[in-house]
Amino acid sequence: MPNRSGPSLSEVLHVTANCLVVSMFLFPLAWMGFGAFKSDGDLLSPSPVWLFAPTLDHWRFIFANWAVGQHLLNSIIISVATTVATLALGFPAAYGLSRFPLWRKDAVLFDILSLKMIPPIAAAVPLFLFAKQTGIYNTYLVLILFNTAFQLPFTILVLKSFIDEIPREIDEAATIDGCSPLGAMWRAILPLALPGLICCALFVFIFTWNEFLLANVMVAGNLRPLPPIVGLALTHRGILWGPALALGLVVLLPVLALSFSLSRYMARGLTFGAVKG
Amino acid sequence: MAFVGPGFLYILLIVIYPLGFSLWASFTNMRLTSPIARFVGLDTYAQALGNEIFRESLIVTGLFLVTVVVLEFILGFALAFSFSRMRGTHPVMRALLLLPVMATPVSVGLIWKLMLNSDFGIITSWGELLGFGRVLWLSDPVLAFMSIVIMDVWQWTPFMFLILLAGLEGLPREPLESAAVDGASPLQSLVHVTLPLMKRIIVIAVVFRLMFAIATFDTVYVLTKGGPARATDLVTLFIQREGFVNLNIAFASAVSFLVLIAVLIATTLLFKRELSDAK
Repeated sequence: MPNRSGPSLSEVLHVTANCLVVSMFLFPLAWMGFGAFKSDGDLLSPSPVWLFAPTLDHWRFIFANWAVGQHLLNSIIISVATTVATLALGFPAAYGLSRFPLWRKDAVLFDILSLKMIPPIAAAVPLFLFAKQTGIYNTYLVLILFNTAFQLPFTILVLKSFIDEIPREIDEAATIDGCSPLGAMWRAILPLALPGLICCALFVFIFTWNEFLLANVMVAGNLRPLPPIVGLALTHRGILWGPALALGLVVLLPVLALSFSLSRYMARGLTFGAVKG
Repeated sequence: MAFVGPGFLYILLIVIYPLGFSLWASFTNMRLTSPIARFVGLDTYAQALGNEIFRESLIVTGLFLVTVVVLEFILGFALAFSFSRMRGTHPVMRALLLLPVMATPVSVGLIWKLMLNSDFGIITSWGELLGFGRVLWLSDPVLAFMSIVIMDVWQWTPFMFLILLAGLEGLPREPLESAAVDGASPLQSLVHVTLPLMKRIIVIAVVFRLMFAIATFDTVYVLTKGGPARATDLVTLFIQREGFVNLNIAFASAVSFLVLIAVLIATTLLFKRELSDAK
């Protein structure tokens, strides 16, 4: 469509309406962000306070009393290790599924997806007993092991959708040049699949970072990552709202920053590769 | 096989093992407090199906799933349609809209617990301005159920929006243009041209949304913990309570399996054909 001189009135209204909708969806996040910097008086006032003198009291409180530095470190260690382990296991599996014939491949792909449909709570009790029996209860390892398993089906399907788009001639050329199948995967496909790997790494990191159910039961005390600490702060009697909001924001900020850079691949990621967005 | 092997073996070990264990446990009377279990056949299943609290939580879950998926689909589609007709959609706007989807669920629960608080919540005070008085969102069963629906719709409408928008933008232009030439009204071409063309992507959006919605736990756990009067007691919260608070492993396992079977049947019916078409 050729560009006319300028936007018409109805176009301006349309864009404004859409901007309004977007800001409605953002408002709750912003409101929490404000709250984390409000004094208790402003925060608990019966009528909403819009203009306030920001304070860092709640931030000092959570780092001093709730050991947020330690839990933040736990979250980072668990999420990074899970991401690395998931990609290391998921990339070869995705490559194999994309390139080689497999017995009843469609059924296998569907079963991978079905696994992801299992609500994690359905597996939580036996995993808990498993962790207790093997003595890995209350370690970083237990969360890394289990989160990796829960993220693998997603990673395999999304990575496969990326690898499917790389022409097979690349593999063939690498094989002619004397590469083994493993070498072809490593030297020829891996660099080309890098966007897919980065996309999956960010998703897996965020999903693991957000994970609450397992983190809440598999570890205790100092080893807990951030989400169970938020849960704890909110289910006690007499919620300390200021610190709770500051803590909620500590958890949320990295996710918001990372998901912003992911938006290009969001449709593909959230449908496990079924939609190429 | 060498490529696929390690990944699959790992999934088998960590995902299939607990399922096998659960299946076995669900035929026993195992409790965490006395791990010496006796085989009781289908007794635990009979107990679960006869349990009123479980049946109520199934009704709450069903009601929740239908309400949120329908609302999110309608809102998401309207929004996607509006965005797809806008000249030069700014990618930043889309990226911003997706923040609720990726946001940490416990923080989402925290945000809504703050906004719906009966003493100082901003939504409560807006309600007062509109003449509703101080609405006790989280202490009334019906309002509490509405609260978890509102929270979920806020969080997941952007998900529907994004997938449907990807679908709308991928549509071929010719069918719509020829419909316009034939004199179809915008509504007619939406119903008779756009929606049929979008069928596959609508199925994907709805099935994926259902799949995530069934697992809803963290947000509701933080916002209402299933209360008041179990009005928001989703089946995931019920399982968590039986397994980790009442330590009744057999019972929690049996309930998990009933849910699992329902999920697998539903997704297979809805999705298997669409997924094979996609490849």
